[in-house]
Amino acid sequence: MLIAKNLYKSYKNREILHDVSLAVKAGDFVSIMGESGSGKSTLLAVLAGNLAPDSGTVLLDGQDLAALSERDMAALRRTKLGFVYQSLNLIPTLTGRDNILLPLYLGGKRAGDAAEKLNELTELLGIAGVFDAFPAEMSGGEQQRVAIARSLLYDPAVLMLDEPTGSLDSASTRQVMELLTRINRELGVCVIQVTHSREAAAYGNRILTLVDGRISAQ
Amino acid sequence: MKLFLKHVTRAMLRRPWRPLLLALTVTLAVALAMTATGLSVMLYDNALHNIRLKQEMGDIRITPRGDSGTRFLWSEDVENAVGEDGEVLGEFRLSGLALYEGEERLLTISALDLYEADRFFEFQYLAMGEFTTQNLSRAAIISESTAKTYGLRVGDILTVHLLQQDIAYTVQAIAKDTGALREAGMLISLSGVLMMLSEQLPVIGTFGDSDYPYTRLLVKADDPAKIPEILTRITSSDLFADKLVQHVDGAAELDFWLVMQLTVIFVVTLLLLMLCGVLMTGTLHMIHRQRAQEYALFRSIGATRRQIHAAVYMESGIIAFVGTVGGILLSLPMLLGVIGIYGWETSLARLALAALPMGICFPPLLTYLCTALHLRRADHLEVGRGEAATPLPRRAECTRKTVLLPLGLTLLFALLGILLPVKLRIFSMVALLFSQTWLIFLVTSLCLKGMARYLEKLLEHRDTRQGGWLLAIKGLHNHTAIRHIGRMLTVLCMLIATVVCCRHSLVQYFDILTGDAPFMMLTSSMSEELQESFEQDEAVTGVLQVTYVSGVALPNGGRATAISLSGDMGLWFDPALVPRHYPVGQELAISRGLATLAGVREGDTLTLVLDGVSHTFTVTEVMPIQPNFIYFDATALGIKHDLTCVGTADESAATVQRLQNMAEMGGSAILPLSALLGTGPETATSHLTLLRYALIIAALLSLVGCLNIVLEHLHERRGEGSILRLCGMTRGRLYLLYARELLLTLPVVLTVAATGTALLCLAVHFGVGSFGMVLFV
Repeated sequence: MLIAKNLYKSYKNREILHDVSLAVKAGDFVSIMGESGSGKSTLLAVLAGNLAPDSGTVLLDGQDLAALSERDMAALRRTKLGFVYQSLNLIPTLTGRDNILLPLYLGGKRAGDAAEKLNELTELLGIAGVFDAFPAEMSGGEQQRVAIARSLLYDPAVLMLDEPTGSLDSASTRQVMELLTRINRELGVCVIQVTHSREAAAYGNRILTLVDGRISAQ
Repeated sequence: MKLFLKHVTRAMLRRPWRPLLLALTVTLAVALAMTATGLSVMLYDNALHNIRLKQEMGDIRITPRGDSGTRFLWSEDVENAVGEDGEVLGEFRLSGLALYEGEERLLTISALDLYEADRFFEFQYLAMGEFTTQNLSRAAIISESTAKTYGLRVGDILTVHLLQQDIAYTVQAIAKDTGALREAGMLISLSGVLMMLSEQLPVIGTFGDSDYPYTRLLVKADDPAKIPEILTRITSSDLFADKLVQHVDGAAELDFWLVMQLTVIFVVTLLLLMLCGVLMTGTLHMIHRQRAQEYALFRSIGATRRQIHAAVYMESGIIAFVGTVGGILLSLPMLLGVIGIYGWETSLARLALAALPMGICFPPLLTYLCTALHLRRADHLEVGRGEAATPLPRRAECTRKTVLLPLGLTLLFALLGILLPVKLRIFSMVALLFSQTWLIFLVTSLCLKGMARYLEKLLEHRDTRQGGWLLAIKGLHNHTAIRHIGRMLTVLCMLIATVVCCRHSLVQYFDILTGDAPFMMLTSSMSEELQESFEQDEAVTGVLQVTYVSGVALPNGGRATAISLSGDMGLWFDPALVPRHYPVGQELAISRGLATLAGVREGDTLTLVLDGVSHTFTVTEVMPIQPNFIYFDATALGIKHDLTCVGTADESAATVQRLQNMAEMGGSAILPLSALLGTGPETATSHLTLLRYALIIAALLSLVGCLNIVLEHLHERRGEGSILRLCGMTRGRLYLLYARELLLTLPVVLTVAATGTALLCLAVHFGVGSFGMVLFV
């Protein structure tokens, strides 16, 4: 489903990724671990098409991300790829509901078109209480759940998360990770998360370890 | 502290456009503040200089009145009245009678008994002339402006067509345009003129050496305290019953113009300073919003508030210092340019000294004030909760309650303006301008928010596919910065539009007076025979007689120009300026502005002093015209006409020359329009040029300020952009979103700015009524 071949990436003469190749199947829950500076976040950004590799290819359902136009890439991000950062995932001037519906607005669809999906996600993520709240009025866990809900709106094939629990307490971390597991199992969404927490990584069915830009263990 | 300074320095180096643009804003603000202040000082100095120059011409001035039986004066009569208490000087003015060969411009000549004039002129320029018995009849002192106009130097020969003959004068000296040379371009010896006159008019030769006829007499009192007594003695004499005896009280005479000029400049200065203030506070506000989080972070790692304050103040100080130095350097050529426009003898050092305090104090102090206010707010922020993270909709920058104060003040000042006497309206107008601007600044935000709320509901209710628009509307509703840019734009548009409108109105006003008039003019010495021959000439389309009395005092203060026309009214500057029913007898037509100032309506009576004689008129018409004119019937009052306008269908050089010859044969001369308008057109052009420069600087300042704010705003929204791109927005659509926000903002900005401009113009229109002026008809 998602295949990365021989990825290289350097920044200011420093090699971040060195010949990284991996294949992720549908239904996988992959945790990428590693020390700070090992290249985990860079790898995730390259896999998501947010960053172009110096060499190598990333194929999503057979499509080479590098070959896509900006418009096609944007459409792909909206429909097939969900991405959640560690923090600051939400637009501060939009309410929870508007933040979730953002991809819908950008896709030129009506809010009514996703009413059913919205109810489903609300129930799944338990975020009905923050629908009318602005990001600054939400807790960190609530912000992450809203961001996840937004990324799931279009039933993406892959959900990528960069340190999703990095700024959360242990209770919220558990809550978010259980949620990701349910999403992976119940919705069949492939989850790829970057984390340095062993506890969070343990929720995945595959763990990759990066050392100095190379996959050292799977 | 060191760490913080290092951080600040690095932040400045990494994003240099921010401090650079801010420093540039301060630079322009300092330059503008200094130039505006310098100009006020220069106008004030010039007004005082004029007062002094008028007093140089003596303490008492005696001239024939409009209805005088004889146009000549004899000094002996006045000397008897003055006695030992002062000196008397006789002047023979040959105004507009002499034409310099080969030039169409007029040269006004003043003939004086030079050896007696020393006491009257402070600048003692007569000593430079060294007139001797040998060269007495052929020596001349010319003013600097005459020298400049004709390119003359000392020793040059100046041929003047005087008393129907060409006379060559040698330039003995070039002196400043003061004293007698303020009103005449050339000064010659009266004895020399009289020698020539006696050849043509033998009767003059019968006058004794000390009893020449003069056109004006000047009296200089030994002791200023004795002036009222001398004045009483002269006016009580029957010999001067039909003469105009004026006490030259420079201060009183110039009071109105001084106040008017200074008030207008004061208001423009304040508006420009307000513009600087709005831009600077807006820019600083945007920058400081981003910095709040940093301070909290620094506090969290152990920095004390004092250390942070010291570092932030130092940063502001550096920007303020750089901006101030740049502003001072920029203001010097601007001040020199202003001096050049007016051609005044104002020392740059004096100007700089007067303007420096404003330049040094205002923008830097404003920078510090904004920093202090920001730090006060930032001190209350928790660590990790900068302003950017606070829920913006809950801390809206403007509510309905916040507009109550400026609204109340606006209504109060408007009411005060209505209730106050007309001449005091200017003060309420200045206050009204500021309260209105403040009100508009706040109202714009409310309007933008209200519109966004309405559109948001509308789109959500309809559940449309307009996602891009919906996002833009939501941004406008919830993003304080977008609305802030909107209100800044509104205020800038409004202030610039108001100044442009006022300038346009002034241009119209001056165009009426300086535009091409369909006539040439002749001097008052035109005989009835000459007038008849002109009326019968085929090339002449009409003849209009004009009496022109300037500086007529109104009962409530303020001055007007009283005009009497007789003949072909269509020849007047603009036929629309002539009353529908021309006044006859004791009737009077008055412009609307003057009628308001004088507190009269149609049917009321108004007493005016014209040429020293008090007359009571009945107002028959209030005219909706811009110039502050009063029309009356001079013939009914026994006042002789000053000028005769002759219209020609054919303006070819041959026709003009033929008419000039006719005029000269009849003992008269053709005068250009400038003879009637004096230095008015030049002054008007100078004022308008200055206003145009001020507008350019203000526009430049607005551009830099707005650019600064927009860049800050975009930087602030950088994080938002990356989230939107993650959600599937292309870069192009991101720019489209910003464009949509601008498109949504613009109609409100333009509507509110247009309304604000109308209100400000109304306030200005209302205020300038204090001078009897009507800006917008």
